[in-house]
Amino acid sequence: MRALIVDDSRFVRDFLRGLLEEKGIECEEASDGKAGLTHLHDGDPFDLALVDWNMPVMDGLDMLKNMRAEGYADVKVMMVTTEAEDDFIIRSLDAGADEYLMKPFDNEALTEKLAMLGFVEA
Amino acid sequence: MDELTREFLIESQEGLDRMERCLTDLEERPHDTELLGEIFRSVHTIKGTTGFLGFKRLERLAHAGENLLGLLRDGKLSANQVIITGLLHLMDALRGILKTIEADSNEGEGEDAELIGRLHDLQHPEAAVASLNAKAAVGNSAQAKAAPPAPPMVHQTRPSLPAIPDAETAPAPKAPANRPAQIEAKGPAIESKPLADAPADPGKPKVMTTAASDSTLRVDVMLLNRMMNLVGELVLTRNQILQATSLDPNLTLLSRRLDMVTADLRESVMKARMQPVSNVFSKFPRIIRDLSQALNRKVRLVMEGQETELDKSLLEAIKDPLTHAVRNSLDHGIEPPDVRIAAGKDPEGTLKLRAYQESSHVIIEVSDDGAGIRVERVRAKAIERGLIAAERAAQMAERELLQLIFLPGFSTAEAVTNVSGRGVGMDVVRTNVEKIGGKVEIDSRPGKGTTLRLRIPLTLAIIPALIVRSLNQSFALPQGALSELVHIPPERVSTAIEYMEGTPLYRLRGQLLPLIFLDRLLSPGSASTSLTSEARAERDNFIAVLDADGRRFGLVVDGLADPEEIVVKPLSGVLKSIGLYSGATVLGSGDLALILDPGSIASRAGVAMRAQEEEQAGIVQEEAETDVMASRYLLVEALERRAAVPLGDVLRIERIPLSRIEYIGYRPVLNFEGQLLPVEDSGGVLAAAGGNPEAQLTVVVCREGNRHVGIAVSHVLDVAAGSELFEAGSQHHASGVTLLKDHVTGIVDLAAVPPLPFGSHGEASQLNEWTTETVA
Repeated sequence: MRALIVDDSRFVRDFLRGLLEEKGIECEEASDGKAGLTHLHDGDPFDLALVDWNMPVMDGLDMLKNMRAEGYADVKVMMVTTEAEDDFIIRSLDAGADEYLMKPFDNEALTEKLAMLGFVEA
Repeated sequence: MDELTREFLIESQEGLDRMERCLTDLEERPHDTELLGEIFRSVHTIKGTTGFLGFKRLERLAHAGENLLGLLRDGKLSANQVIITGLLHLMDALRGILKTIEADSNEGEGEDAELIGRLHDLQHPEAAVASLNAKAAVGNSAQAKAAPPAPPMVHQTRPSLPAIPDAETAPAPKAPANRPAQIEAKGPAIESKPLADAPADPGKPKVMTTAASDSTLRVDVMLLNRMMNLVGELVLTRNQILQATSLDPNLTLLSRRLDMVTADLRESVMKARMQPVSNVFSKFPRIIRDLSQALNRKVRLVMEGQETELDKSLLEAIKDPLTHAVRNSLDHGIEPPDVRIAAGKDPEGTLKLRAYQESSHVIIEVSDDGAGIRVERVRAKAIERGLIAAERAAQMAERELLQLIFLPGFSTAEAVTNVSGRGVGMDVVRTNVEKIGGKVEIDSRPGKGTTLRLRIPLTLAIIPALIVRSLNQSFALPQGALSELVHIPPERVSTAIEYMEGTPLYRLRGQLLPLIFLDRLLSPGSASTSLTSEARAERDNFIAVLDADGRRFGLVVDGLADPEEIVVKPLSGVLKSIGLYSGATVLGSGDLALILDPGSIASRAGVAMRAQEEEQAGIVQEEAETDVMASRYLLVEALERRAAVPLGDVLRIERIPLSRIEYIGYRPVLNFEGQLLPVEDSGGVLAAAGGNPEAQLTVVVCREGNRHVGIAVSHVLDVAAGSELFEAGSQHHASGVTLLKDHVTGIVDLAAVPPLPFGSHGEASQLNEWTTETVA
């Protein structure tokens, strides 16, 4: 399976990639929403997008809305947010997100969320 | 430190660098939402990522900042001076903690409560909003506590992480000092498509974003250095192959291709080391903000050409000199507002930083519209500090006087201020810039302003150099220091190179140029290898005129080869400790050559330099006192050697055939008006006449005490005024040295001419017979 990591922090991208690849998930990275959309358009199909909220150029919510509007319905979207953005989780779920993951997270938390989406076994 | 922590530190530092730039802009555009968003994001990212690593102190501080910034971003609070100052303090505190983590891998102890409290208070203008946020803060910290401790988390997962493919992310460890945000934005030339077409309002200056991870990647500087080295090796191998394959047409074609590919590759790798000067410029807004407040100046900073690129190591090297120059401009250049108003100027001064490329150099200018440098004060100061003789200073042109501020120990600051004037002066700027092969120039107009110009080579790794020969070895002389070449053919060596107190000098367009013989420098005291003056006179000599260490001198070498682009290789410890070489290189011929360091050579030969300066000062002094003190000399030449005879002692100048010279034993004598004179022939003029009785020669008849002596010379050149510079007792046949018509000239020692065996003034009639007899 393939996952798209969209986050403006290299640290977070590296961290996520490390955990995901360990589970045999192939990863691509983008540093903002717009670049994330480009990856969706141009690359091989993705099964999952892990999307940060606050990014330059295009934030995570806009990316999510665009994705859904453009018909990428099959791609599961996991919003990766910080605890200060509680209310945003509701908004993103309304906009079509499938899961959310709170920063900071560890392998266990990520695995749990991936299991909820049916990608790995809990 | 594990790689993730390192990544975190670099990313956080980048974020803070961006924050710094944006905060400065925010002062001018406090409502710019794009700026506010960018600042918010910097702090937000730190807060978001620090949780992964469990740096609680950092997290709390970032959190406090984020709350305040959130209000600003959402327009619930307006930025003002107090808030910006608070945010700057936040930035400093965050940087401080990052530094501690970098050094000790932990956050260290520190009391942030005061700052956190202040950041909190700053939210208060609107009570409702503040309380709402405080609630959020309480909720958040509770959540933070509930989260499992972070560090073990990372340690659990990290070791089992699969290696991350380089091509994708290249998370190589970096020197923390670099600022990859801009590397990414400007690109180490690896990028293939234009960056983030961010929807920036055309009116506003563009805020730097972290985008573009797709088209750029981060590369370890060490790796780049290694690549550069390998490319260097390739260049050398190519040069050798080109030489070796010139006979075989097939190979020639192939090697020509190799040549082209190598050149392109070299260019690309060099480009990868380039960074925009904005990396250095970006820290000046803050410095100037702080300084202008401390010094009560109003300063507008204008920056131009920030996209100009320079080799990374050079960029690092100019950081300090540039900072010093900027501080100087504020401290000594731009006047306080009231002074400016009184002078009819805009109360706000302008400081301009400008960078541009000029062929193989990057020029960085620091200019201000301040008071300028008053050369009179420079002159007075230089004399007061004993840096230069008053007489010499009196004669210097304005441009020359300005250069004095680069002398060690010079500082025009009347009072020692906090800002500059700490005993570190412009000499440090010059030294640092020269160390990297650059040059510093200064221009100043009183009342109008000052411009300091740093001329920096584009790269240090490959430099143009002139290959010179000495002691049958090749040496590379960096072209940066080379100003001209002078050829001295064998027949001119003895007259062109003058000596004063054992210091060789060459007169270059009226200026005395101290000379350093490379062979003597390389093997001091070894007569077998270095050439004697006689041997030197039989061959071509070349003077490479060099400017280094604030001085101009000539390096005498045996031969010149082609100029070559050389790849600088570091030296081993043993060679480095010699101090004459800055590196080594392999020439196209395959020979190894050491790279001479003009600065070290100059300081090694420092004694000679001082001699030159004293001599220069001496000239001035002598000229000033000419009326009273000057003596007049008869300037003569004996077989290309000049000598001076005190004019007061000269009785007559006789033009005679050789046949009139007679001998007593082996002593030549001349019958002059019935008197026999000993004829001094240290110049070898008589011998040169080859015994031809018809040969014409000149004898200068002089009075010496109560006797007369004759000096055999080839020509009389002139009569000139000059005065004795010093006694040179050891010098053969000379009682001293004078400066005549700009030439250092030995004075013929009349007293040293030995008396004739029978008394100093025998009766000519009496002796005539005897001598005639002898000759016959």
